[in-house]
Amino acid sequence: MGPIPRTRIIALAVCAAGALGGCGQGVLDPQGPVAAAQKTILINSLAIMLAIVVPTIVATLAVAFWFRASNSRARYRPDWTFSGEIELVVWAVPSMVVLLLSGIAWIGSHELEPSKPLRSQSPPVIVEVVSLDWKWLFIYPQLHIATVNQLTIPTGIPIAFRLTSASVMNSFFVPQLGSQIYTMAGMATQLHLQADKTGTYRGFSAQYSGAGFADMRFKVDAVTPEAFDQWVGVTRSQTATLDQAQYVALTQRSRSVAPISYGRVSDGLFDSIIGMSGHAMSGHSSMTPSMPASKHGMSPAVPAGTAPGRVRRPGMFGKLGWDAIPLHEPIPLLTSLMVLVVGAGVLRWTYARGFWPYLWREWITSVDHKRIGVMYCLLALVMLLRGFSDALLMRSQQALATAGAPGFLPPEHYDQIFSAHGTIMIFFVAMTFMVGVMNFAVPLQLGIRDVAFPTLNSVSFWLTASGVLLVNISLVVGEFAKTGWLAYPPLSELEYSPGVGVDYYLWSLQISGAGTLLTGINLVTTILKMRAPGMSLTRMPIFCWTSLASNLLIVAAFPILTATLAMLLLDRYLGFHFFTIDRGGNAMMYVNLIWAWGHPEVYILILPAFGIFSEVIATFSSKPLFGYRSMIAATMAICVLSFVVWLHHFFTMGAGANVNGFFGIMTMIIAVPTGVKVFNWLFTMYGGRIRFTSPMLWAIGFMVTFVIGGMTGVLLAVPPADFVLHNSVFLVAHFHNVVIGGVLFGAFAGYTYWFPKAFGFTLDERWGIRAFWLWTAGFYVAFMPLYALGLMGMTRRMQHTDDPTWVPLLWTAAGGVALIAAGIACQITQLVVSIRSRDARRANVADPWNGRTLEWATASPPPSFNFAILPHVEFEEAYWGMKRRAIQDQAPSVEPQYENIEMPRNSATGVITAFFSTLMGFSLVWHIWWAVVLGIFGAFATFVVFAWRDEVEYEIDADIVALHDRATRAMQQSRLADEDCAS
Amino acid sequence: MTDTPPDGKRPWQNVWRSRIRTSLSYVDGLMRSVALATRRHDGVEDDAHGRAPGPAAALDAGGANDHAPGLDPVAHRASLIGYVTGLGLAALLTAISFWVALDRETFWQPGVAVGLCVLAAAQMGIHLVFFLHLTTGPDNVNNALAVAFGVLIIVLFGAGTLWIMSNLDTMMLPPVPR
Amino acid sequence: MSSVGAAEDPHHLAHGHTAAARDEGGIAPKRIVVSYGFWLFLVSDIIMFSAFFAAYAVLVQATAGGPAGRDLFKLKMVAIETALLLASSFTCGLAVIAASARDMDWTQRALGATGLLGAAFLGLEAYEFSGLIREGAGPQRSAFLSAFFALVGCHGLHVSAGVLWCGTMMAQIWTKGFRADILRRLLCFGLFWHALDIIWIGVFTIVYLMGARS
Repeated sequence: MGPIPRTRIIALAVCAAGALGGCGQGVLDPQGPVAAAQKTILINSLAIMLAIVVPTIVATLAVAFWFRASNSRARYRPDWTFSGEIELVVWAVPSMVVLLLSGIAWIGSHELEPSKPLRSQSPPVIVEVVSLDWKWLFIYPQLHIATVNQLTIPTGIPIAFRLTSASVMNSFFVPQLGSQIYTMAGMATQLHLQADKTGTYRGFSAQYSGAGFADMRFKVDAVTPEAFDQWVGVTRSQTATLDQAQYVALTQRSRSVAPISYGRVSDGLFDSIIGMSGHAMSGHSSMTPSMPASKHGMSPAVPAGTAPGRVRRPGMFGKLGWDAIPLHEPIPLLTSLMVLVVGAGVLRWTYARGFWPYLWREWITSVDHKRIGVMYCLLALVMLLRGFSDALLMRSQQALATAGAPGFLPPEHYDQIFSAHGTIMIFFVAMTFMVGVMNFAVPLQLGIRDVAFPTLNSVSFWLTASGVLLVNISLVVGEFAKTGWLAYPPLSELEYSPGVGVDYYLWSLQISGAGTLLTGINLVTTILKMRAPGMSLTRMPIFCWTSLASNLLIVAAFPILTATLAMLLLDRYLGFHFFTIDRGGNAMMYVNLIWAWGHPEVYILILPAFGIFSEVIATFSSKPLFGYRSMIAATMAICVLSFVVWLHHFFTMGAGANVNGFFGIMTMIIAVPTGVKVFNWLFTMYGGRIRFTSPMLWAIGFMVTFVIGGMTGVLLAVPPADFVLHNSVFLVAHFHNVVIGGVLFGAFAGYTYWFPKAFGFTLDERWGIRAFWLWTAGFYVAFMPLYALGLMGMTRRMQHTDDPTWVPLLWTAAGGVALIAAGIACQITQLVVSIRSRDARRANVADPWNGRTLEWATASPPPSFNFAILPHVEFEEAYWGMKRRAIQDQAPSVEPQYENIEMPRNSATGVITAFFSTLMGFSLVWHIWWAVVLGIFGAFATFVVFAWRDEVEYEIDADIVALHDRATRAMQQSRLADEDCAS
Repeated sequence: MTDTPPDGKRPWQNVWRSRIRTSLSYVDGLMRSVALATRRHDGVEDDAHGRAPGPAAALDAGGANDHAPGLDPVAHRASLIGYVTGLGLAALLTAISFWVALDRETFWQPGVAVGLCVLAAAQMGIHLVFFLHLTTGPDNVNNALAVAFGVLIIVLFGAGTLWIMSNLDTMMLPPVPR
Repeated sequence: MSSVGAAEDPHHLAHGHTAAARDEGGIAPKRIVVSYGFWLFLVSDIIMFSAFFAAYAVLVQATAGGPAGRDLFKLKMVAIETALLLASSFTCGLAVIAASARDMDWTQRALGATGLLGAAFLGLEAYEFSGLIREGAGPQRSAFLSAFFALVGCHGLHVSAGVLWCGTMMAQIWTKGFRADILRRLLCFGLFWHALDIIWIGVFTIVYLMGARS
């Protein structure tokens, strides 16, 4: 072995060690007082939380193991469901931890407030920072010099930064020096940092800012004060002067700019830059929709398909033309071609088999909540595949595109992919799946026949489908947003995103958001006004409670989203100035508004998942849920608290210490009810007889994974810690940790749990368990490296990176995604295998898990009317109580008197409305105004036609009801008899 | 609540159309119909929820039996009086609002904004009570809770937004003249 | 035996005989379900307006060198608009009363009056907007004007939808009579119209009265 390979091996080993230790140029290797304090806070907070999280994880696994059904030594205590002492303890323990961390958060956000000058003997060096597309300008006003992409600072002397942007938002971030802060046009943020040791550090923009974002790096040279003076002297000898003209030249878009230095700077340039952003572009401010974007002085890095240079006269089809088809981009083109072929094939096949009338009658026009719920879930699963393929592309791109390698996705495409991934996964997978599950299960659990407004329910679903369709059309016709999933302006304004991508984003969310809002209203009304007789609120299954909370949040939060997106639309379509850089627009307000929706949205997603886990854990532990009352209190507390935490998404925007501290503390407080829930699940398992079916595995996997995600979440809620972790891949790891480990695991648990109820046969367990292990392993392998990378200073949304020490971890993460892909393959196999062997899977299918709630009291699949006679609820666990009573009474209950049942008629209103709203959305995207009018008129006409109906219900004959019910009853009787013999 | 569903198929419209046509004056006609409606009490036909089984008595149990929002629970003559009262009070408060806003002599100017807000809140309350018939009665608990939830969210969201945005505003350094 | 006991009341919430008489579940009559659902919609709609109000409050100073509220607002017109809306709220109430008395003529008259008053309000608003735009104080002028046009315009759009609904409602009552489902819709329409008036109180107070003073 020669000497060269050996050094290579050593270098690799060092890299790996550094990677594992999370050091090497990262947050954990601080070089200044701010960064050092932040590292200490980070590690202290982590240690405090680990003290509670590790025992919780160990206890979860130990309790689950000990109380396994096969362990005869474990004591089964089915009535141990409440303990005042434990209730007190489970509220007190997280409260204490949070109290301690709140103190840290409050003091920390005051001590380390970015705008607060550092204590020092020497006066600070002032540096004025301007973020440009895509480079950094540093002006030293005291020294009258300036540099680009290179910051030289003296050690031991505080540096006072004043920051602004000449373009979209960026975030100035030097991981080893500490806090990052946003730069925004027309405003100046302040930041105080100091380097204690000499060295060269890396600087980034942490806030995604467009196609050249990944190259927006700069070098920080920390040198001794003497060397600094020397450097100043050398720089001053440069002839280049940064005056107004030179500055304007600098504002032209460019990437990977080599460092430049200017020996002279005209006075007051920085302040004029701040002022300029308001006026320089005022010439563009009267833009009208018909005015093509290419007039705005852009040399945009948009794909050639949008033809920036060519001005086309808007014809009958607005901006739409053949150049909208991305012929030059093989990946989306091939994908969409494949989707089209498969879609056409499916249509053809269903047509050949004569399924079209059936599909139209029984599904598309159905107003049955179960059918609609199933369609929601199906839509979500299909979109999961789409969103996941985006994830595959991103992980492989980041693994490949390092050290100068470009990878296989150009920035224009990569940026669309991560934007689409986020949008799709949140709105069209997580949201859609949860709404589907609630739709399916809530009326059954409440013991009623349908939701409050069945036709409206169908409209909601089809509006969601309409949004999905628009997002997918963007794959073929035009482009999707390149702005991230929340489309922060000014990047999402017409000026910086002249293409149709943002319009697709906005209209698909507006349309599907309207559907979601209607669902929220529908389900809240259903839960509050329609429950089986005797089912008081405190007898509702906990899933209904979490659904209530979740839908209340929809009713309260989605209007804010609608308003916010409407403002951005007004900016883009009618030249308003809500969030523009010029004429007083305020992009920070968008960030504020969108998160006022966005944070409750997180709880809209997770609360139903909490409900599903509660049902699953109680059922498979064969015990009632522990601490039902605490669970309700915790659910409603989360519901309200989720509205007072939103600022934690933009701690680094430059708010004062009081604001940051307050919202940090509120964020931590929300962890208390969440912690209570985890403990209650733990005590539900305690004393149970646990059956490790795949839903239960998802639940246990969730408990372990979610507490880790919760822990990192609380860590991010400590403002000083967030200052170094915000916008890093640590953050990405955190929210995937809670969304995959919480929402998605919950969705899968619910899917397996209620599948037999929906279809009348169970899912294959072997493939289900394989999927669980692959998903869980895949999650940890994919996202734990991202936590480490975040600590190493890697920011999010990078199309390529240049740090060789990151590469092994990026490859590990890509491997994790491959594991998840295998998990998804198992789930598809599970479905296929189960369908093929469905006849063997129908044993006991009305109540396959020995359930406790009313949905298991009816047949599987339930008849259209759900219950022949509405159940009379006398117990907290309605069906469990009925079963116990029947066993005790030793007598079958008397057959009830059947009556005719009136059910709502099918209606095509939903699908027709969706057709017109899709037409409207698509035409708005492409400015085809006549079709917009047609779409609006069509939707209105549809509603009027619907309103004119005379026959809204049809009657099911009592004999048919009786026929259905007798079969179910016979099955239940025999089941109860079996169980009686067994016990 | 007397939600006993009466026969829903009586041809009311014809009866009433002819009755009104014979009335001497519009006002008289209105007052007569109001009087008759009073006798019918809450005469809106109520179809008990189409899919509800069993006797209507079962439906009368408990929380599902709140009052419908927006429907006046009292008899209609009283209801008309309620609308007139509401109209009068609202008009009065509006007038006061305009007066407070325009008169720069009588009122202590720094307090005017607060005064206007309180007047607006009061007028919204009047609308809720006299036009939307929100009460504190036991049959209105869910309706009132929904309003309270909405108000809570608006207060949290509005106050939070103003606090955050004004704080951000003060933290952003204005250009320093040099 | 004990297992049944636990199943009945495992959390000692004292259900059963001692339970409060209220909140026993059951399915509410359809009229209540429908109007409660619509009530929730109104809550959500008002929250949406609160976002526009918040945006207005944030941007009210951002005139970008352009005109401010005190330079633009004509309170006389606002007073007339307010009166029109308040009167329409009253006539809308009359329509509900007349409908519950099954009085077709009065129902139609009251609804017609409501719609006309609403249309008059819209006319005035359109006149105001077009005047502002002609003066060069359109929504493109400044962030303040953007927020103003969006907030007041959003209310105006709601009133337009209300007028459209009012017309549809009149046609429906005329052709279908006082059927239970039609009456439910009328009830919802009443709720909607009154809610618009409540929002207008916020608009004229916060936007016009305060704006004209500052």
